[in-house]
Amino acid sequence: MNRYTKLTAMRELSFWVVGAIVLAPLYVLIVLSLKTKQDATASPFGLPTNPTFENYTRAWSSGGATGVPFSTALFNSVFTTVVVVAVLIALAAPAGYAIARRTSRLSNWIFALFVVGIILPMQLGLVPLFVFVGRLGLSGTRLSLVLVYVGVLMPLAVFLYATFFRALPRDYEEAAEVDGASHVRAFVQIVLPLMRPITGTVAILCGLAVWKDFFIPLVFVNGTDNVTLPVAIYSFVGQNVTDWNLIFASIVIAMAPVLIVYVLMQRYVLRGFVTGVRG
Amino acid sequence: MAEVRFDRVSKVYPDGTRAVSSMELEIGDEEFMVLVGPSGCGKTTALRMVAGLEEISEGELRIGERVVNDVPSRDRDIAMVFQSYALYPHLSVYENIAFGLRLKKVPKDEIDRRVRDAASVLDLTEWLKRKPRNLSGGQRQRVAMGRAIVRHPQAFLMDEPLSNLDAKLRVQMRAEIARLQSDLGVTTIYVTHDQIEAMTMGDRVAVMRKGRLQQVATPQELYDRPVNLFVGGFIGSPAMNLVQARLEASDGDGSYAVTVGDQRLSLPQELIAARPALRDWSGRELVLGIRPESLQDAALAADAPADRRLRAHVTLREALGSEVDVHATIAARSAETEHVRELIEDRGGLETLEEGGETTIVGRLAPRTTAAEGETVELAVDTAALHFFDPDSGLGIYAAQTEGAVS
Repeated sequence: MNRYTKLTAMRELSFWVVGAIVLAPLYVLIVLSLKTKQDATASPFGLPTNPTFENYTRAWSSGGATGVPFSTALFNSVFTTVVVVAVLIALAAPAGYAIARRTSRLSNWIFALFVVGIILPMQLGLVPLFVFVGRLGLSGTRLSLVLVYVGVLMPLAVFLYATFFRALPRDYEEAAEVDGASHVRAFVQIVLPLMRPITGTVAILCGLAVWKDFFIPLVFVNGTDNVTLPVAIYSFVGQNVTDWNLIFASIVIAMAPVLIVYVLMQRYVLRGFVTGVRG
Repeated sequence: MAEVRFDRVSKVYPDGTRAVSSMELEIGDEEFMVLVGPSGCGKTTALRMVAGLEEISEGELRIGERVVNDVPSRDRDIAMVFQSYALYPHLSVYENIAFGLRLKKVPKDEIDRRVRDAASVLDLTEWLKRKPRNLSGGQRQRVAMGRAIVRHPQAFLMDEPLSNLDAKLRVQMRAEIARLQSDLGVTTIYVTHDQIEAMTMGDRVAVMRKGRLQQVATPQELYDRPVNLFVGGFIGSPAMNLVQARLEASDGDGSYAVTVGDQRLSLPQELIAARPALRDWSGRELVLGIRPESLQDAALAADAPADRRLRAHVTLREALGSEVDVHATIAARSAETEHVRELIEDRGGLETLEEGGETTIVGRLAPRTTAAEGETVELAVDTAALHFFDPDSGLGIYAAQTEGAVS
């Protein structure tokens, strides 16, 4: 069945074409990030005549107009993302479980509220939210970012968990209870581990949303030392001149953690999505 | 070890459905009690009430001396085997079995000893490190058993534990579970819809239908003296043949006979003596129950008297090797009471009541029979083993009208 026929050749060719289209921006990105300023303006798409890592070191230590070093921004992004995902899972899993297992009308209403929360754009509430954060005295803090993200992403996480808990047979919990476990124990030791695929999905969807978001940090922490990567990258965009080689180097730095996590957890990422689709 | 007692226990759902209606049942210490009945009869609900997984709406349930209505399952000290096994997929076989012991804070070496003991009894020692998904169905079933037995609970509850196994394994595990139970001497409630499991495993069997207990008795008693049409038809395979018949007293000599269509079967004196209530039925219509095993090819039983035979027209012959099941029609009306109709529905509604004056009966004959499809066969009837039921109430006709009056 593995004969290399004309059809196979056509198929292979189309893979290459699609691959090239997909990879072209990546090529531009990496090539430009390795060029000096002069080189970049002279031939944006050619191979670098004199490859240099200077862009990376400059972006890493100095930062752009705001003056926040990239290393700080990277830390802010990692911190915000990890804390937000952890808080989301810790709160959304029990919430989804309660909604799924309680059959009262109230729990249906709460579920509906969360669904509405997914649909409503957060920008609608932006001004009051900003004022509220200000009154709490949290303007420009990392905590304000975390709180806003948890609030914005909670409906999605609760929705995903509740849907999956509904599909999970009660037998496991019942077996654990008959075995002598309390509700909390059965949840933590039996139910939650069974939810690993959906926990992965929640972590990826919400983690990526936080990581790549530009708008919320721009509104809530711009101008402070707490900016995240997207805002820090934007600071390289000058009013008159833009150093594209610097921007591209910083984009590569911003992508790296995501790629590393993806490579390490590829198996779980795919499984999470597959289960997600099936469930 | 403990008795389990249902004291007028009912389960009523919020929409008003009564899944279990005032159930009275006492399960003795170390007894193996089987709850059997068609699907939806309330047997699983009853079991789940003992487990504490279903609230008890009315009545009292005791395990040992304790009323457990308001005791959560984790404090009832019972172990349950689920139909789906509900093995924890992320834990190894060892951890699955040890889970309950860890929760009870049993010392580590004690846990290890007990898990290994259970594993060796159940032949699981070499699989202890595996995850449940890497086990065969039979092995999973044994892990579920292991999880129950290490706990040394007051009672085992089993909810159709064998229904996910293939037929051969089921027979094997049936014997295994029965042996294990008698070795351990733990009170056991076992739910099944399979009457063969019920008969072979139970010390006593409780037959349920539509949330009500029909009869609680030893397997032999259930078979010999079914309290009503439902139990008679449910227990035994192939099922009991039920036909409309008429009881007649012969003049003077005190002997009785039943007419089935245009045929007559005379009844032995012992039968009448064992069922004195039959005397009140002379000249009346009743439902006659003939077990397939009570029929024989008359050609192979030459000494069968002529007045204890039925002529029938063979429509289907099923050779099973050790015996031959013969489906045949006789000229008689089917028992068309409400109870029989329900019974047929409970069996899945595959059989239909014949129109007109023909009834199909099934006989389990010796393999040497020459009865062939399309021919007429003479069937010798073991008249001492006939059953009689009241067509209106469905109750069996035995000593007195009141006996076993559960509707």
